[in-house]
Amino acid sequence: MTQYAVRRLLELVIVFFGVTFIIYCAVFLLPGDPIAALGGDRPLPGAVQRQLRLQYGLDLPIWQQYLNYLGGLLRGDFGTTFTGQSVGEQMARRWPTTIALALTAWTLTVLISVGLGLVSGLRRGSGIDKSVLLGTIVAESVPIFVLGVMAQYVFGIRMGWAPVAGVNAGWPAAYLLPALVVAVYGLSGVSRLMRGSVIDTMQSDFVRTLRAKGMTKRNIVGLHVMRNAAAPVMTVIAIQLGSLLGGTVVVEAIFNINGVGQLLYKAIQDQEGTTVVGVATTLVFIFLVTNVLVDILSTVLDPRIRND
Amino acid sequence: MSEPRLSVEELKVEFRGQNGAGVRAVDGVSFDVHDGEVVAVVGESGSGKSVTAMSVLGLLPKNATTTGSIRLGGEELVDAGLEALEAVRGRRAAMIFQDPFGALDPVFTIGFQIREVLGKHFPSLTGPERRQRVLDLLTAVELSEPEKRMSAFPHQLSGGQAQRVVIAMALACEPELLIADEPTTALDVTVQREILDLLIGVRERTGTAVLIITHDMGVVADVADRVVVMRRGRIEETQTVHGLFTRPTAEYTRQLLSSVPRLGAGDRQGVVEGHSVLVLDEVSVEYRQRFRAVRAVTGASLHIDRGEILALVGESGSGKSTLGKSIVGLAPVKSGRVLVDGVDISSVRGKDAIDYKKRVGVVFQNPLGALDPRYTMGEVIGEPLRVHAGLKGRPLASRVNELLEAVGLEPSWSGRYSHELSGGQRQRVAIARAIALDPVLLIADEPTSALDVSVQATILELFRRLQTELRFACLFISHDLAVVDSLADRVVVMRNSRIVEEGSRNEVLTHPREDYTRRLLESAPIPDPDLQKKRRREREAR
Repeated sequence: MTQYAVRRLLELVIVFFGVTFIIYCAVFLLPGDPIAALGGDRPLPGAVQRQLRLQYGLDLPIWQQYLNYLGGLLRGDFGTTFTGQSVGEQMARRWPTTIALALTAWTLTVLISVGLGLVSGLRRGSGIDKSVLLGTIVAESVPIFVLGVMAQYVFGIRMGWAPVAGVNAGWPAAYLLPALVVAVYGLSGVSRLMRGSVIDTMQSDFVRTLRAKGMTKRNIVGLHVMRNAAAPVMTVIAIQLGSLLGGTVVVEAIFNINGVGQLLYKAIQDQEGTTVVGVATTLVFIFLVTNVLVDILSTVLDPRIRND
Repeated sequence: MSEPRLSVEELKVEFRGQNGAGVRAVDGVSFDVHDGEVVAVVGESGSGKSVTAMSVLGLLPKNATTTGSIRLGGEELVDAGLEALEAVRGRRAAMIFQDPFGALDPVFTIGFQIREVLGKHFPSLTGPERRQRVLDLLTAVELSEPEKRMSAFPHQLSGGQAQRVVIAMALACEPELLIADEPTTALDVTVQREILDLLIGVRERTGTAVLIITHDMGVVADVADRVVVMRRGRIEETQTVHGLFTRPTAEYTRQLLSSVPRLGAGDRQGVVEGHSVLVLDEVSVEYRQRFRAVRAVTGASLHIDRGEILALVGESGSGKSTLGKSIVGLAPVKSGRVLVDGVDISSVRGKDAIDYKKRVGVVFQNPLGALDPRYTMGEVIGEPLRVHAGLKGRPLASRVNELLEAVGLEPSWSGRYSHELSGGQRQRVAIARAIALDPVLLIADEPTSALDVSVQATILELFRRLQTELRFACLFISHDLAVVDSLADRVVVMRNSRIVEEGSRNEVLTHPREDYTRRLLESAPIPDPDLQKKRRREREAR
């Protein structure tokens, strides 16, 4: 078990360096000159541009720039933007908002789709099963900006259940509506996976044995089927968390939430490479850590994986 | 005699199909089981024997309708509500299933799974009391290191150990009736022996009534007091075990008994010549798993002459199937030589290798898995002819028809798909495909193990006939010594990846040199109740 965790953590470190290097190269080797763009329509004098390049180390070869960046990372320094702001501070203000939003959306996805998958798996072929399938596909095929605005209108303005925009009302009131909108887009995949997993498990021999032991249906489904069916679903759910963190951009815009998505969007527009790399790096880090955690959790759920 | 423990009367079970049409699986079955009695229900697949067993505990799927009467200790179970059934299941009547690994939940420890049933039926037991009871049960089923095994997961056990756990689970609440549905079919003969001894021991200690479902006449002769023979949902006859084997009344029973291969059957006309088709010289097979290597075959040497049938015998995990695979290049040969018709197959490459493959035919155990579900039988048999012999059109069709006829199937069947065939018919097609290119060597890996006895008898007959006509050399891999005895010229016994004994059929099967071979022979259930009783007494005396 410990050996397994250590191996996974080692893999994590290697993947982390590989991925961040690729991101770094992709951002800074792209055509376009951020320093030249700083001045807008009136270009900065050549001497000033040279001075800035020297200051930001942009004259160095790319690998050296990357190593410098890594060195900074180890000291907890994410670098500064071309306008002199600390990237670390920029992110520190916004990550909590985005993480709260993503985690809320993720929890909603997991709860709703595992519930829906369980019900439709147990009542396979029934009206409920078919409407879950149809409902999740229809909901997912509506573009997010339409669904977001609709949700604002219906729940925010007509019903008045939740604030229309902004996060001033705090968690959970301000977060539930945007989180729900984000959550909709994970439902059909996870619920169908859960449904299949439940159907497979219900057909396995040990369920018959459990019935022969006199166990109640509630016990069989609640304990045995859930735990067996959960293992394959876990991995997909973990990947979902990663895509949720990066995928909140549009929702943050619709609901006027000042999160990392907005920051990233502006940084790309302004060619603020350091900010883009900073956000991407933290994103990769969170993604990798969740995956390792989930893999370790999976081995707890299913002992067969341990003897790999 | 006193009131029967289990009384089944006029039981009828009907399954509703999707189109609303009903299929009657059990049609008016009546029998009793008394305390301390072992009643065996025998029959071939589709006879309704398992459905009968499942209906006792109400475990049939929702589309089944059960009528008639099933009384356990006087209590009617057919119309009992779910709650009443749940109170009976596992408490008053417990069940043991065929596949012990399937029967256990893979993600919980075996200790938990036994404690669970105790918790359900004896909620007043405290934690430590339950733990102690689990320990007692595991000790009673003779599981080694019970203390340690309590926290083991099912995949960490062997098949025999897992079945012991399933039995312990069934015995947990001291049931009045034990239902065992093919409890030893998935196990090796020596393990089967131990499990049957264990079941008989339980019956003797506790006086539990036992209903055992099986297709194996050897098992019936060994453990049963009375026998119910079923066919197509009806009872053909009910008899004492002695009466059944000495004076069967139903024609079907006689047929069933005559299909059972017996040890010591008549001599086969030997067709051995001095020409070795297959020579294995110190062959070792090694599978690599990350950092360790697993030896599946160690230094195996044997030869098969033209026209000879060599039986390769051993239990699961002995390496017998791997050895068969190494001949067709499906297993990684680490060292040694495999010579087919004098050519070392490890040295042939490219066109020669393909040429070599034409000369070896293979038949596997599970014909359904070995036939492409999207190919018609004509395409299945025609494929090697098309690829290797370049046949097409009319010559191809006529050769396919010839082959179908050779294996006893109508040529018109070439348009059918494998799901339209029965198990025996599928195996005939697989054999037709294997002999399509007129091979010099045929490897048959447990070709009849998945079939009913009466079907097995016809397939073995076909096999024997084809072999006499075509005179191919044959490596016949099997765990069933009776089948081997009826077919083979020579026998090779494998154990723990090594060949432990080799000799003519008579030598090995009547005067085995090795202890292990002797144990295999003693474990094989013989369809003769008197002989079985004698053997059991001998074992107990030891």
